[in-house]
Amino acid sequence: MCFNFKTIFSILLWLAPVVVYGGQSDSISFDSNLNEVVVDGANKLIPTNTTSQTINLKDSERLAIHDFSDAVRRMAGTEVKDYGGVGGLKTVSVRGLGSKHTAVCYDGIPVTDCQNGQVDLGRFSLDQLDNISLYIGEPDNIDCFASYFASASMLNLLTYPPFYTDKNYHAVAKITCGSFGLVNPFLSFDHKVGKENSISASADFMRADGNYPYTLTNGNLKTEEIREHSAAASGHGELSGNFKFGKTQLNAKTYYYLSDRELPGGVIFYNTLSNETLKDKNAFAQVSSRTDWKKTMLKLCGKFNWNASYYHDEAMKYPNGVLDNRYFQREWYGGAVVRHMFTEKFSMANATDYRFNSFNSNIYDCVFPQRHTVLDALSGKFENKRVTATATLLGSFFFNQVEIGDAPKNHQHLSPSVAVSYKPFDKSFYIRASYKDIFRMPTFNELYFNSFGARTLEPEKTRQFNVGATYQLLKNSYQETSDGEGLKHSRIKSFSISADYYFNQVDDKIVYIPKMFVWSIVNMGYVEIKGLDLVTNMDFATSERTSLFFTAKYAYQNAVDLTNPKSDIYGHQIPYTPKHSGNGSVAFENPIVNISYNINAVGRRYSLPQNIKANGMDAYVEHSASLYKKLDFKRFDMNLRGDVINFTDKQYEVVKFYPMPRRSYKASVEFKF
Amino acid sequence: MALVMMGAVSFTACDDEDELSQVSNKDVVYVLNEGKMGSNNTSVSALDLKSGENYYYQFMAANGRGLGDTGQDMLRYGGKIYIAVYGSNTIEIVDGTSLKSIKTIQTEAGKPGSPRSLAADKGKVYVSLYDGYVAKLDTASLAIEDSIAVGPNPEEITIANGNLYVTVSDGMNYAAGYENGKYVSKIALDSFKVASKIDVLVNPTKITSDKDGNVFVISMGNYGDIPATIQKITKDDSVSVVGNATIMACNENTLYTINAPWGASSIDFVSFNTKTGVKENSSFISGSEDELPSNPTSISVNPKNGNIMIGSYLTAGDYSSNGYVFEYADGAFKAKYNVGVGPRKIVY
Repeated sequence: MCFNFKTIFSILLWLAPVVVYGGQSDSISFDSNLNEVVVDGANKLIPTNTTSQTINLKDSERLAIHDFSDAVRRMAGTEVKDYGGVGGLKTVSVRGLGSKHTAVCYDGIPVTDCQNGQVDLGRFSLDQLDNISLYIGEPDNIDCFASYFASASMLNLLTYPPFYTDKNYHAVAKITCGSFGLVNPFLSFDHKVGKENSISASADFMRADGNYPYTLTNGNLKTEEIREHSAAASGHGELSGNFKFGKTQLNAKTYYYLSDRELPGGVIFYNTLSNETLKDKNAFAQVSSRTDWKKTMLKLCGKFNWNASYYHDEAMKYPNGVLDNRYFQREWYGGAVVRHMFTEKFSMANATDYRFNSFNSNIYDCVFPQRHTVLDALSGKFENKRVTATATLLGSFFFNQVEIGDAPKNHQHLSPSVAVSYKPFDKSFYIRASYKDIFRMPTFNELYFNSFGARTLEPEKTRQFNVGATYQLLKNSYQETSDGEGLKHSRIKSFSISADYYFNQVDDKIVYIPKMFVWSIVNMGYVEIKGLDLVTNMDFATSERTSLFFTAKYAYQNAVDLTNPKSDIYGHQIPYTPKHSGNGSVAFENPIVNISYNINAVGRRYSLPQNIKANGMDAYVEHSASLYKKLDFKRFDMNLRGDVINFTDKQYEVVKFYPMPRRSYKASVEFKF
Repeated sequence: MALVMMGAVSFTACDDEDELSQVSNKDVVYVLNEGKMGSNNTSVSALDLKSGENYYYQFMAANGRGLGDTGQDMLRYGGKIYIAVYGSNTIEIVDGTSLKSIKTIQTEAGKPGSPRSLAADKGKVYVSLYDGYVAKLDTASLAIEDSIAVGPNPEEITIANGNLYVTVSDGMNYAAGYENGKYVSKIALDSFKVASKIDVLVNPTKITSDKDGNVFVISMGNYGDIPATIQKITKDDSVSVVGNATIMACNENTLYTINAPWGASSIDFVSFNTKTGVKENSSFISGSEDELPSNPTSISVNPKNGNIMIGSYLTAGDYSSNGYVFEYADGAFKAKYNVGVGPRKIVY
């Protein structure tokens, strides 16, 4: 065996227990009351009774996470597609289903793109985020908006909640600088108004030159090249308020994002010319509220979203030498959810969403499409000491309109999902099973951007089956106190291990077919994905003032195209889906300077559907490390951090012909007042 | 401890390095495989028509590097083979038997480029450039010595009657219905000047000619209400419609055509007499389902034995996997060869 992933991950996965037992045999007891070592128990990287996971970004240093997409790829089941560089598109596919099956929510309200059907993760910065959750299949709870049930998986990004100690304000100023001309300042300010109200403002700006060196391999020929035309600049600002009226909590937010990027495109042998640029603008305003009565809860939200994209290219082949495509989309969104606790153990919720999308562009065959979407989710939840069970029935209704020609037919679907977990003992041991049947609608791009009858496209359907188990040992007194008994006298503060086996089907897969210079899009394809996700983490006190933190994830995926038994590619692994992948991190925290290390390993995979050597992409391993230190001054705290990303200088690609930067550096200083 | 252990773990990746084998004998013909756009997988396959063997990646085997992205045309002339690679913006000139690269012509920044189609006459190789030109390449100096503007997005070219005929497609101007892409430019080769512009149906893309100087052009239409149509251009520039097809090739006085428009339920293989324009055979090849191309990309006739060779993608919907070349003798299926992605041209 050439690439010894199994060995590596055996080491990664079994390292933790080895250290655990080593710790237990050691009779030195550990006093958890020491302030120097603060274990943050809110990190739920490990799924328990559902498959959901949360990364608390207070731990981003400890996990050596260096940007948003790096945070996402740490979660089990994710596969991040990264086109390289600061401005390169980054999307996430969960469990082999494709990136358009992953919804994104920002502070609980969906962020959508009706044109492309996927959100570029590169636009989010970690600075303003408190935590990121990933729901695979079902959300954690039933008291959420109907959109939460309407996709195969969902990333939920939560910004910092207002944070007050004895002061009535809180301010953060941070600057990050790095290789290839990266400069990224961030400012935020929260002010308390009265007892329970607050207003917050935050803004960031990022610029980078790109132009990083890479090695191009063309057969036996290796040349040193520069990734030119890859500069990027972006900025974002938001203003929000949190208010409390009696039983009601109200949050309002306005958001503006602007980015201007050069697109280097894929590397083309012998031809380095590229002139493409892309400008994006996004503005939204959203309001949400939550009212809690004794047994009933009501949540409401509303949002208006506006998106504009300006694509520009220059080449002699175009009429007048230029191509300017401008795309505009608008969305009105409203949601309501009511949940009632019928008994202590049984609750039900009904959630209704309405969304109106409209789109226009300057391209010649734009038909000015509009879509009304109504979602209604009825769910029930039963919960006792041993069992948690949820079931949801989602009704989806889509009404399509166009100003020119015939509109695609309207669609309606009923989608069931169920999830059950069982805790057979008093210890934190969970077994879980779930099933979800869902689909994604064709995007406006897929339906309208060509004249080959794509308006007849059907939704792309998915079915997800999952079984899993988790074992946890926790010591934190403020969290799950009942489960800590085994650890009182050990150095291990927490230890978890989790395994999930899943089986997914994708039917009526929407496939792009090239036709001269335009595309044609059809429903064609059936894919089956069988996979295994293993995750473990452990916090370990090495001495009274030092700690070790350990996480590891391993994923196995067998994702095969079963469309046409007569085709040469029947049974081949689908593109960009490694059979084996994983990552792990270790942090050593101590009074001098904290250090963390991350390893990310991706096995061999293919860039095109046919599994031949010419389409193969080499496995790679990327290593990164961080040094970080918190300094407490009288009036403020200062956080210092330095990162070396890809420190072995490995040349690799996530997407074929989009080379990733080799070694790069990043340093930041943060002041918190 | 954990840190040290993890740091010490080293990964080794390796491939089973297949030896690329090169083949060259008198029974070998070369196939240019276009590849998938953006994938740098243009390749040359060799087919041994006698033994039935096929060999992949012949350019790579000879030169240790790839051809690049979206090879469009390949031409054998004077002991050399010329290859027009559109995406990589190169013209590769290789030895006609060893396939060793003799010269790679690259386009200077800001100058017209993007080679599409090749034709040769009297020591010169002509190449259409998608940026709106036809360039003249001297086969002794292997340098481009002249070029002429012909109109937006020229596609295929052919030489007949001392003239070069170039299709002007305006293919990038689909937004305005290819409004400047409704003619064939006729260039007199002795003066290298435009002799006439011949009006044809919208979006002319493919062109060929017979031994008597009859020129046939396929206008691809608008992929909507105007279908792909074959037209005949005579020496005096008069144009007449022959039939509907998307791919064609001439041999002697027969025009072999394939009509495989997008979404059609069946593929037609119709041949015409080039002199009269009259249909000769409404199905010039036959075979079982596995013996007929499901997604044809090219057709040519082996000048040595008159066998018809048809290139095809793997299946009707698959434009990224390795495809096939089918060989027919006297209309009957003879052989099926495995080749690279999108077999676009065969040189004999």
